Amino acid sequence: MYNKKYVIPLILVFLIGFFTPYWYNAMAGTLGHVPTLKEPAGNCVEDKDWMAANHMLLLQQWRTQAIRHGAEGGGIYHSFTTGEEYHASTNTCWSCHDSKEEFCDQCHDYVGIHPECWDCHYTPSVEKPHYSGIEELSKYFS
Amino acid sequence: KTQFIESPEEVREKRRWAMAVDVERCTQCMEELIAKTGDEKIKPPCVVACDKENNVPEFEEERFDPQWMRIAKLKLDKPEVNPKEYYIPLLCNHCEHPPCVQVCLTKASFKRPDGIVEIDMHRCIGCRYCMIACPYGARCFNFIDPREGLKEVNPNVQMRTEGVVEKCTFCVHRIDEAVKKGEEPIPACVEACHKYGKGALVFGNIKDPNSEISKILRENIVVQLRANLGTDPHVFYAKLGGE
Repeated sequence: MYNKKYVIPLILVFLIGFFTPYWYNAMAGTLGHVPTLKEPAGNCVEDKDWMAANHMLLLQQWRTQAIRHGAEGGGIYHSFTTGEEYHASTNTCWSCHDSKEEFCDQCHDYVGIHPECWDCHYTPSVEKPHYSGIEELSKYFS
Repeated sequence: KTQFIESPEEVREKRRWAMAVDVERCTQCMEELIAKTGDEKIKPPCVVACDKENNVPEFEEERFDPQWMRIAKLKLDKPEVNPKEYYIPLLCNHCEHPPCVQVCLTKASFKRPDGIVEIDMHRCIGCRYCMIACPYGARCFNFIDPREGLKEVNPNVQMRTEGVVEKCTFCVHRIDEAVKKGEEPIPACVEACHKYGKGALVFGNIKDPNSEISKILRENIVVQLRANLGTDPHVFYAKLGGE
């Protein structure tokens, strides 16, 4: 092997760099960390394993149904697991999964993806008072 | 593939949402409000209710401030015949032939079979062709993240993000819910108008001959805004010009 004194140190430097995430996690004490999800309050619209893999497909179908076919009754979703009817809305999810940080963010942060859903959609972590309805306006108009 | 309750043809036969405005009552309400507060730009109950219901943000600078519903002050062009000034609400007219839908590049804007023109915010790229195409100026662009301008949040309606176009939807979430339950839908502005105002706004289904709006359209001479353009808007103004 020629150029031994350059090649071997460079290979070592490359390996150290390549395993940086491993060193980082080992030093931070989070090696082998697996996201822990908060147990939801009720039953899911579909099977748990199916939801873990395909929840974005479901949300996409809900979106198309509820927006594009809202007039034809698209807001109603029939579960193929249980056969029950659900209202196709993200608020339906929030009725069981009441914390974004302890449920959605756990896996999303773990795999390092940032869905843009919450730019617009309501989450329970929004720290603003709720608008409850038309009665509230009596403070402006009497 | 999902089976829906009704086919688009059935919906088209059964329902067509429209709004009628009694200009006389609207003017009365606005004049009273202005006399009471002395503020020319006061927001009447309908506009406030719309803003709160649909999470429409409020910003100081008017250029960036989205409005789904506005009140316009107008004079007839012959003051010697009729010098009176009128106030009318301006909102999306939900045209039968909407120009905004025709020009939309990504097909984000579309017309539902029950006549409501809606925007799919997921597809909107913010090119603003629709704003140029709309002859009524009903659409607004989100220059700033709307969350900054929101004091309260209505969880039932999605907020928008910066870089999309938004407009009045006739409170489509209320309509879908009411139709599912078999009730008469009522948008937020109409509800507020009847509760805190003079009851100038009437909303209903013009395919149903017994509905209140059908009666108003039969018994009054109604005006559509810029009807010469052939868009067939479905917000009707009755008693305009004090007939």
